Amino acid sequence: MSAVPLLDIRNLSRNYASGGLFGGRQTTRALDDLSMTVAPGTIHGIVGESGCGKSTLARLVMALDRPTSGSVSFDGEDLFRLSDRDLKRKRRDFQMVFQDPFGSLDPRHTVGRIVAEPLHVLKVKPGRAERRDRVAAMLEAVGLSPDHAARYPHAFSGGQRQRIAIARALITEPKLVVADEAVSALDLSVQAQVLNLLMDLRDRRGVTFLFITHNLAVVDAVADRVGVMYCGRLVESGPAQAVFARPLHPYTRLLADAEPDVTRFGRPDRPPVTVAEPIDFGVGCSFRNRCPLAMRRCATERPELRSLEGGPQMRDRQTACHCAEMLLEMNTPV
Amino acid sequence: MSAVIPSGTGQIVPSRGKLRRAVSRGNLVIGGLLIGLIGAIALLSLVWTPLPPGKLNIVQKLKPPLAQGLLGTDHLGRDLASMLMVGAWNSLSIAVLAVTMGAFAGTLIGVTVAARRGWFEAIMMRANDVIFALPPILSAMMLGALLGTGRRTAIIAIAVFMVPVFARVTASAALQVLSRNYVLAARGAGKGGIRITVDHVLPNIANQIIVQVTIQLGLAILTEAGLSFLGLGMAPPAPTWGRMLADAQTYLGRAPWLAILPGLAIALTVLGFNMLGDGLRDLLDPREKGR
Amino acid sequence: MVSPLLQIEDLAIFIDVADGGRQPILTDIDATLYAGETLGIVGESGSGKSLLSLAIMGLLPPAAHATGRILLEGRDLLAMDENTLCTVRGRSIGMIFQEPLTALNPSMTVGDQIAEGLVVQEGLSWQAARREAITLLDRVRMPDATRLSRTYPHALSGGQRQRVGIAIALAMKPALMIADEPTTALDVTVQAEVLDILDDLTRDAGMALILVSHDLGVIARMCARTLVLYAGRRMEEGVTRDVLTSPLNPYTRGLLRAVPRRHASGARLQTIPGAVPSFAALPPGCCFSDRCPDVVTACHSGEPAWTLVRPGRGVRCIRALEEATS
Repeated sequence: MSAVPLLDIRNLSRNYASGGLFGGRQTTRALDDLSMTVAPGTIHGIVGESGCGKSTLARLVMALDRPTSGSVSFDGEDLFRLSDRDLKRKRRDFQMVFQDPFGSLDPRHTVGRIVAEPLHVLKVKPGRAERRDRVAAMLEAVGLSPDHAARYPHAFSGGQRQRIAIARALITEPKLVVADEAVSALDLSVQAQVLNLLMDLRDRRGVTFLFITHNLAVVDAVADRVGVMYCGRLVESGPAQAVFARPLHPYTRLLADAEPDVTRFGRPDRPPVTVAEPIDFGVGCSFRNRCPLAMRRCATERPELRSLEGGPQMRDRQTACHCAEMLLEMNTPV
Repeated sequence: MSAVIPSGTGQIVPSRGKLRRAVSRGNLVIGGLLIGLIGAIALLSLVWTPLPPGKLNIVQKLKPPLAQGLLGTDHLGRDLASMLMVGAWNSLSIAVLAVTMGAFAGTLIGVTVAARRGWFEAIMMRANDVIFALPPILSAMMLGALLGTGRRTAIIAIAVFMVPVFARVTASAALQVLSRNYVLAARGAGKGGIRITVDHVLPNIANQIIVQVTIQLGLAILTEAGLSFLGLGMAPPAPTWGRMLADAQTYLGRAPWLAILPGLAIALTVLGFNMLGDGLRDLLDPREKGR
Repeated sequence: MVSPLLQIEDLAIFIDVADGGRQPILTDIDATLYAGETLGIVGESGSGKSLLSLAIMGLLPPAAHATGRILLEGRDLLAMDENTLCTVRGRSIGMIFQEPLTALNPSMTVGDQIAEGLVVQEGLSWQAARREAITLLDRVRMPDATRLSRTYPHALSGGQRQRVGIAIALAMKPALMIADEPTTALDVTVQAEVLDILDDLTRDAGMALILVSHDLGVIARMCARTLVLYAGRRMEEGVTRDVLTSPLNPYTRGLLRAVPRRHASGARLQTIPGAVPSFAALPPGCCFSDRCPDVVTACHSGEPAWTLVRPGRGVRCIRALEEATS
């Protein structure tokens, strides 16, 4: 992974103010000093539970929102330093696919118009015939038929709508597609079709995906690298398969254990899961109230992302846990 | 119109009661016929009336329907049918113009409020509240003092009263549309606020505005009648339904039809618009179509 | 011989459509459930699984019509009038819904919502019922139950709301609990805990559970037996481990293959081509024949019958029978 990163996120933070009127104003940290890079031509998974800040991250990467501090460099340019005009031009290179295949398509536009919408950002706007050809080619690329362009979204099933949304995201031939829970609402049989489509696009067209989801199995199946988020911070990152095979953070492990699996029947042999609400403590490790390994140091010193010693398997892996070595020993098959 | 099983989505939406659907279709048809008929009469009055509506004939005053002309005569012997026809034109044209202006301004404010939020929203919405709190009769009196009574005053007074209604309906509908992901997708595609409003917001709230227009038209007819009843509408001798009612007061005992007929005209028009509005609302309801 | 708690016999459900006709949704449903058993109902959207759970609860929408019998403790739910049904629903059947927030009253404290049923159905005083409510919240492992019983639903997290939903259903000590996608809206760690709670309740209280889900992993974790639905028909039924490790129906096989899991890097997931058909446009013959990888000509000629390959293991597929006999 020595390639120049397509996406370089540095110390990104985003606070939201809430309250007011009665009671004091509160600031919620949706993203807390997050840094990561995404290499071109890969599927980079982001996993985390609701409220961990993964959707905020998506909005910031898409420049739909501004950070409190930090920067997002895309293809070498800091998105938040660009002028509105330059940002608009830049948008052809990054597009988004949303979770809800029903809410993300305007019911009053034809599929052709929906798919063609991002062409709006091109400097030289294609003519009518070229637009039609590009839409037709795009619909075919995602497994739909060109004559679908004349129909309205309600005529399509959930999986087909998600394909339409993907076609829309791809029509400007972007380098990056941010997919926020893009397959979560789909049925199993259709979900697999869409996941294969994403992998095809990566392999054939070199599209990079920032693939955000709560579903570990999905990330495990398609992602090259994965970042695990908790309370607005990245707590672990590394090659997807290695991370899930041998987690280096107790939260990753908790997630992996909690995820139902078709090959595990009946109640798993683990202590009953107790869920404490995630709390952003401000100091120390945010996960310590749920962590089986928590020690005194975790309450006072915030663990930063770091690499572990340990040879080739540890290459490219990072964890934000003081006790990662302990976890590694426990996980190592004897 | 209400097939039950949308393909692929697997949701099972039970069809609504047959009665409910029949009622809604009835509303649309009856309301449409009523308004169509009254509109046709109003247009007809521009080229033909049984007698010139202003023609006095004191000898034949206060005749009951069919005794003199189709619907009788008033206290000055004017032909009631002709006056009602011209009144229909006067009432409808004032109502349509006023509602169009109100809807246009209100929609503009509404979508802007939804798109801008912040201080603009606060100011516009408080201003709306203030206008809303003033009855149109009061604003017409104030405007009347400023501009003199007449057609123009009536139109402006009613239009001003309509603005906050449309602003509110539009703003809340637009906010709903703006929260949709397809708007986020449009922003991601580099579209600005105005483009998004034109491309996505307006088409998706058009239904609600159309329904509101029909309902407000009924209200405008009523308000116009009230204004002319009080002498704040069009100047005499132009006949309006409201002033016909006012003039009829004196003769209520001797010639009740003088009050009943314009009253009926007002009631039927308002009813027609309201039924049309209800019917349109059901017809345009997205849950009822596109299956 | 113990008599079954729930027995569904030849159930079919039709829905009124606009042109005045009736669209069959569920056809030929049979199922038996004994006290303390757990049954998983699996299906994708459009399989009719939610309609089936509504039918068992007696909550069919007015446009739906059922034929057949649903016997709960020997009494036919479909033949009951609304009043009797209300009592049965309150006392014998508990329900848990997918989105707990919409199932809770926003203007009533959660404690009172749990207590309400006890007051109405059991005739407890409000004071006693509120105390009982706190005990129930404890049972569903609600932290700080006494304080939280006095809060309103909006102040709770998704997992806490679902626990309140379970406590409400539990208050009546139902013999049968029906949970329709109870954890779909929850995070995985919260889901694991809610599943643990449900598991404890079936074990300790001898409560029978019908769990409706699209998630095969949840079914594997929770249910002793599994019924697979497709397009309103039973495709396969049996002990969960059998169904999920040696499926007889190509649809079940396809579903299992489509479950995302770790592959050699870059390998594609296996899929079922096409999409779930609408009820109005099912293919002729077997309802899965247009997507089935193992389809033969005979599949188009008629709907395969439901066949028991051995007691407790049924399948609807002519190919599965060929294999079983050859």
